[in-house]
Amino acid sequence: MSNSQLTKISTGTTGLDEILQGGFIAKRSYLLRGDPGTGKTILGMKYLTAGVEADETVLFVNLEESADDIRDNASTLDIDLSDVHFLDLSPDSDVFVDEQSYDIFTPSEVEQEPLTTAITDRVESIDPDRVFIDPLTRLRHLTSDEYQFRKQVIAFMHYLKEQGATVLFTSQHSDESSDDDLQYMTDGTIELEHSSHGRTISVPKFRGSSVNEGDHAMRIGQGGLSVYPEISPTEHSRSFEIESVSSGIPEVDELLHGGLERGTISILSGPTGVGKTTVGTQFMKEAAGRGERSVMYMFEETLETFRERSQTINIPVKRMQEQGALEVEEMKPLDCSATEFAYRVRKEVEENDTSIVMIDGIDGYKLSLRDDDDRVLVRKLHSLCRYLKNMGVTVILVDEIDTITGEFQATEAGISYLADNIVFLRHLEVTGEMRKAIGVLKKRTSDFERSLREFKITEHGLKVGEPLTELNSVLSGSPEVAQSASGNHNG
Amino acid sequence: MGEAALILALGKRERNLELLAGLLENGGYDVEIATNMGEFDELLQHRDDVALAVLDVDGFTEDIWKRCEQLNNRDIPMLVLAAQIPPAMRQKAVSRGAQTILEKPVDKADLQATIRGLMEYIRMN
Repeated sequence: MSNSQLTKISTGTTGLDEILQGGFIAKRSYLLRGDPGTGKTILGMKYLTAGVEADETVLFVNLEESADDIRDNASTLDIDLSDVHFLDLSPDSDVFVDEQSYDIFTPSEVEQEPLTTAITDRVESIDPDRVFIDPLTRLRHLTSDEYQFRKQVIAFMHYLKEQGATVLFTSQHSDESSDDDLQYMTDGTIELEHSSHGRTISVPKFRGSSVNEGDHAMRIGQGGLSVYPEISPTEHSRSFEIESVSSGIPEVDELLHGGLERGTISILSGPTGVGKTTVGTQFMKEAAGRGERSVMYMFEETLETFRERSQTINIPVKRMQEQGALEVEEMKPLDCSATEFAYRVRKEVEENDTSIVMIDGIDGYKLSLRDDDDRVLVRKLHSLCRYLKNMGVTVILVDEIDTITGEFQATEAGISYLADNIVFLRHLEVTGEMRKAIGVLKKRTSDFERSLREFKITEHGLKVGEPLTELNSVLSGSPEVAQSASGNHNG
Repeated sequence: MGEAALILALGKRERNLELLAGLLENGGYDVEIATNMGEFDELLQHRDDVALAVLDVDGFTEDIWKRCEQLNNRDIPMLVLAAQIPPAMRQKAVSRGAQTILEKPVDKADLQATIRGLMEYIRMN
């Protein structure tokens, strides 16, 4: 069968459909692997309810949990199983009564045949389009050896396919009883994992179709599972005009020879309190004036503080939010993984045609998101930024450096190679007075002004002055008044 | 023999007896079951047509061997079943007339073949 003839059916979980590029291939069998508590049964429930929504007949063969327990668990997650047919083959509680236990024959001789008969009778009577078996590995206990188990599974899968059903089944894996062999017997494998870094889902095997590779983020909540596919930057793009995005402050635009270009990544670097967020927000304020939408992810400040602070310097954040020109998301520590965060950003950009994305700041991003280590986080940030570039989004990354004044350092996050533009801000001490300077260190798309300019944050907004030609050694943090300027001054 | 041969089954576990009876009845035999010595004694007292006894000895006291002697005295062949059969138990069973001793779990086909063999032995004698 050629790929064009393959019919794909929804798995019932949107993000998983995206990873599988449309869903499961109909009339095939799929293995769902994962430790207890990873969400296998929930995924299976959603798979069945998607069938119900498509007017299909669906069958849940439960071999471990009772049907009543499954229905109860589903209802706590708002999953409606009322139109799902059940074949309850869970061990009856009577088994624990001594009269019901036996040792005269092996379980494979006593239970396998009635079980197989029960399944085939039910399948033939309701003719399901979808079957979910949870867990199939229980058959392992009902077969005399591994060879018999494999034979039984293969025969069972063939039988269900001949009946026209798409089959999803779970397995239970342990050191004593590996389920590795099951992967060879099915058309695809979905793996669920749950670690301290969060829940992930991956698809190591999928016969007949390509899939989005990688460990994708997952969350269990009301309604079932939410899957957040990892971004593949090269798979997304949209056409956009390469033009400068003005800051709205002529002096800043002069520094940047026009502004920041669309589809570029800029780092605003500087020590605490210097005004990085304010400079970034200024670009978003100007974008709002042009009728464009921006989104800001705050990792280091609360929305309330940010709004109040912005209000006092003539940046009307609240009004911009009310007009839909600005979305501010306060990111809570360990709220999500880097993959989930990137997916959220992607949805925001694609659903709201957002033109500026600001991440404030990189250190907070690395601290707040659950993931293995800094390298993984930086790689994921890199991937997100490349995606945003392809989509023509102007990206502003706020990067705090530790030194307040003194030896110059552009960024500390190891991400400067990401940046098309680096704008740095510095505290200066000039003759005992604290002042601030702004300058451009790097700009890939055009030339830029090599001088520094003084800037102030006032109640009327950002004020940027003329180039600081009268000062030397500004980057040291303790600039000296240039001889000529000194002479002029004295004279 | 026009009528089905009667097999008397003794065992502590009801489910074992049910499964055993199901298998034997499918094989064309009549089956009477007893889950304790009292029932067993009563059956032996009232039925003089027992062709074979299948004794699952697990869970019984040493008294079980007295029942074996009674069966042997009445020339009723015996098949003994146990989860483990140490040499001392095998010795006891054989010395009291048990024809065959099988370790549980038994293969259904093996058990059917063994019973057929015992019935043939009875018929020949």
